[in-house]
Amino acid sequence: MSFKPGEAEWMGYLYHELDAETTSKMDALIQSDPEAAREWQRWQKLRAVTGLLEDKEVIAPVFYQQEPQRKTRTIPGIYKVLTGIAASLLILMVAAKFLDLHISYSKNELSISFGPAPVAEPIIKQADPGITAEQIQQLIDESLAKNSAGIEAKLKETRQALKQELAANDKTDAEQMNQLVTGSAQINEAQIRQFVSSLQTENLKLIKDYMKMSAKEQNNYMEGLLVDFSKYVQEQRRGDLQLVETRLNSIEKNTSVFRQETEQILTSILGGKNKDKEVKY
Amino acid sequence: MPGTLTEFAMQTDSLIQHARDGDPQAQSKLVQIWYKRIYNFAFKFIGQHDQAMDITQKTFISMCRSLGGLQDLARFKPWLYKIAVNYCREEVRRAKAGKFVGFESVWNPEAEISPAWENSTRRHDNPESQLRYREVTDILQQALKQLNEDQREVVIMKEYEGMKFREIAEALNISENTVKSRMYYGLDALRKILESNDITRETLGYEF
Repeated sequence: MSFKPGEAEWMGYLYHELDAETTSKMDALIQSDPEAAREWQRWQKLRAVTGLLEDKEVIAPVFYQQEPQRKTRTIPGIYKVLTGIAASLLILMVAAKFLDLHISYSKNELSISFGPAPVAEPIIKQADPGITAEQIQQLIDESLAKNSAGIEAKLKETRQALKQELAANDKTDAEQMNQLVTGSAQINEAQIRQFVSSLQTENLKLIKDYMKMSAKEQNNYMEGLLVDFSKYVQEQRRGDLQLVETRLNSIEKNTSVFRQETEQILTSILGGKNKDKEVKY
Repeated sequence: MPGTLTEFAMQTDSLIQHARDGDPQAQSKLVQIWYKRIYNFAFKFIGQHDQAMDITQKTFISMCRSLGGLQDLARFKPWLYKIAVNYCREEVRRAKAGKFVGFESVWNPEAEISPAWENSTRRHDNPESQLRYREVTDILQQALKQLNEDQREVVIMKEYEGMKFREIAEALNISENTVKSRMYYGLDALRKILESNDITRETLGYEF
């Protein structure tokens, strides 16, 4: 085979960075040529060993980025002048505020003042010189007298009317009160009587019921007692009978035993006498 | 969580877009996503935790500063690794010039209880297996350090970061063939180092 790989081919093949054509040539060469196969194996083994060197663990430090310096802007001349004027005005306004400055223009007069504002004096119109003070006083007195007389008359009228109305009201109220009191008294008496009678009937009924119930309960109780007593007596009787029966049985047994013993004794005695007679004979 | 790979790619693209426009939250998210990868790349390249942390931090500071200049969003990954590689090279140069001694050479963090150990998947293995694993990873790490810088960065990017040859070429400003060539010789050197330490798949058995 004419293909002989150089350093570049070997490295390209080892790291899979060869074009398809050269790769196939290399494949074929390694398949056919034992020397090339050994070379390939050596590279592979070397890579297997070099692969053992692992990365070291390292922690990236915190990254601080310095803020970029800000560009300082230069202000054009006109803006500087305008800013100066504005600043001066502002200072003047602040100073005026603190000094309590007042500027006013009226009646072709410009006034500038510091401190509290001037108060305009009130203009008092002069009275008509045609009427004198005494006349005015007289007129006032007259009108006052007229007014007071009218008011008094009205007061009298209203007082009288009020008195009459109050008297009428008192009268009607008293009548109504009397009616109410008498009515209520009558109603109360009848109601009380009715209540008492109802109470009496209820009490009577209750007592009757109670008596009935108590009589019934007493009866039941007595019956129960009697029943219990009869049961008790019967039990006693049964027990006594059993006792008597057992005693009788024992007496009967004793009697039979005594009879048997007596019979035995008698038979033994009789048997002895017969033997004596036989001996005598 | 993104459902498919395409969806994830779209989300990442929009995240990069927002981060490029200066959104601090998007930038923070990008840092969170890529932090582990960049750290592990730097750690495998340098072999020292503290220096790897420094490189990672510098990489992300640079990312946030110069993300606005990234024209093609699809080139974000190689672009980010390019920054990381540059910082790794710078660190190597600095170490060579100043005879830098890493703090980890005099202090063994694994001897103490650490969160990394608590979170490790190997924690539950038997002690022999753990010891063997530690030995193998140490040998692998040492083997990587023995490679020259050009080979090492290519091997780590390809083998451990899973980048395409095209992406590596883009990140390192070299041709794809050069990447493959460096990869070939890098792996070959790695194999020889491992064989000299008797580390093969057969000797490791079935434990790994």
